[in-house]
Amino acid sequence: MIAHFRLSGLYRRAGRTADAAREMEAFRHYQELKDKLSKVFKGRTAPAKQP
Amino acid sequence: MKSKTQSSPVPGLLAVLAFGLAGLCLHAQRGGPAVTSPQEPGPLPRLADITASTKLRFNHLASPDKKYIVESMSGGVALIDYDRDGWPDIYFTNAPDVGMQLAGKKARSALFHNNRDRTFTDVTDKAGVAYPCWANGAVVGDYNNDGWPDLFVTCFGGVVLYRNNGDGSFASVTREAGLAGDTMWAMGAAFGDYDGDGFQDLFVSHYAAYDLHDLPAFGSTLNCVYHTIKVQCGPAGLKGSPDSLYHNNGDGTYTDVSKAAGVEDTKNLLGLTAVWSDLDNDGKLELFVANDGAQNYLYRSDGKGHFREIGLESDVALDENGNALANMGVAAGDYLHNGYPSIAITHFSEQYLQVLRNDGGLRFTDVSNISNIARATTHVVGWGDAFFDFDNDGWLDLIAVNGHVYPQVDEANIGINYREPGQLFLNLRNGTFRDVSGQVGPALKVPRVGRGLAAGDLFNDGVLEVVVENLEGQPVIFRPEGGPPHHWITLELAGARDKLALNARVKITAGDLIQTDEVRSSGSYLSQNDLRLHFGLAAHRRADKVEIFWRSGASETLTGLDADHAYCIKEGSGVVPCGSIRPARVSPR
Repeated sequence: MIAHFRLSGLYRRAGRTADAAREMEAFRHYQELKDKLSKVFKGRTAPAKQP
Repeated sequence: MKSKTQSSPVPGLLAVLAFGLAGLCLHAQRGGPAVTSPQEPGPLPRLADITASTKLRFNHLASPDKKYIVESMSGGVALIDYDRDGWPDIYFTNAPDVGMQLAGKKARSALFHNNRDRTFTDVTDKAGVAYPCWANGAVVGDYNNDGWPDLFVTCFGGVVLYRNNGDGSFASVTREAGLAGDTMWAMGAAFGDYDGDGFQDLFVSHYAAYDLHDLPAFGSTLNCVYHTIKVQCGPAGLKGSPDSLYHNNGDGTYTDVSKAAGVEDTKNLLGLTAVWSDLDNDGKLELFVANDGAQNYLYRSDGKGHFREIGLESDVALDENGNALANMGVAAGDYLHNGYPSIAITHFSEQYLQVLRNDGGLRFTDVSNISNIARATTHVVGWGDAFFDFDNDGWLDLIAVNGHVYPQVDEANIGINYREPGQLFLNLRNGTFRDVSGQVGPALKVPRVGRGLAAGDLFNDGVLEVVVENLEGQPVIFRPEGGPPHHWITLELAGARDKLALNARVKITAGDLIQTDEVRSSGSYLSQNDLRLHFGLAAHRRADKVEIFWRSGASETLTGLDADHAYCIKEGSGVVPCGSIRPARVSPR
């Protein structure tokens, strides 16, 4: 995911906009997946006891 | 069996990739400043806590446990010269806790008049600004172009527009102005004339959809656990609210144009500080919105009332690894002398104070690490921040105040404290900073629960004070004392129509020092800096050239302004007596 994000930035700076857009699209795809997983995980009930 | 001369394709591919990336990286470095050796400054001023001597007494209310996130977010402070005497006054927001609110009790915000003798007097009741609401932030604008600075307060459950009556009092004109329909949890706000019609429009960022009668229970889900400690819930897990852009109709009313303009925030992110700025010097305003725990927005204007969100492609949305951060305070300033305002954003702990270098053309680079800021700020929760010339050497330094949101961390023995010291970073004039927090006296190192911060020359002596509102207890006023006897100049601008000259830009040349700045409504964390522009001039005894780029599109150049003076400049008229750009006081009604 990080690789796609960084590549997108590097391509953009190099003027390779099509490549930048492709990498950003890949980044967004994985970011959405990550966000969905995170919501499922963090919405769980907290442990009853504090350590 | 492979021949020994036959190479594996993998290293070859890696070599190509490495070569390609190196080439791309070289491309990426273009636009950045030439790397030079850091220039060590002379003796530093001491940052003194002068609060007690100013006779300023204010207490921000706070529940001890902060069981709900809404109790952790208030604390914006505004510098507002409400009586236009040329001496900045101070407005502190205040907020109740949930229990108080449900019981119908209010928290008193406060306005302090600058007595011009380094003391302040509480004039809140006379001014009529004590109880706007559950107040989070405050910014300054002039919605009716009468030259009297108005006060806009963002609230949990609405907004309040205070019209400055010009007689020392304010009147809420929220309903008359068409803003009473804004009933969401408002946090950031900023005045700015985005369409160039001469009237200040207004943007309001909203945080979360949050019902005091249906509160997420303390520690109830994993969203309410921090390092195994049960804490308040949020911001993760909260449903965000859309943002609002109000167009100034020129008759004292506003119209909601959020959707038509394309800034309504369809993703419903958790909006905090918002700032209008001409980030690419093209005469059109961009709008930057810091979103908590999500990507920042950067809206590019077409100058005709429509915006396109370009945060990701401008590299201001996320950190350099593509992570969304808990974006809170926003400082803008040309710390590099490259002619463009860069941005510094405060964040939660385990993140860092993010410095986004403005490379021009609405391209930014996250230089938090190479500027030496990231490493020093990953352990604190940052809020108010400002670029300000601490030692008047002509190079913007960076200050930030910190303070955690969970009081429970103090009891958990996890190496994190609720109260945290502030931080000052000295500009080394080569794109890097040095943490001098420990070298400017003990005042900044006192642990506090910092929130809002505003910088300005409170006493008109060429030294920039920093006013900090703390979530718990008294505010603090820091003042640089001692240090090298550097020169300075202050400019108070008045546009032909916009008497506060919001987003007018200035380029000032003094010998080899070339600085730029812009008049901005809003900044820091839900706060308002002095609207006057201040420039340190180091050893230069005069500003050789001052170029002003007005929002109207006009520009003018002044030459040979002596240092150590504050000048009033009227669009089209150059330097004028300050009385001529300030409205005449109105007799009390």
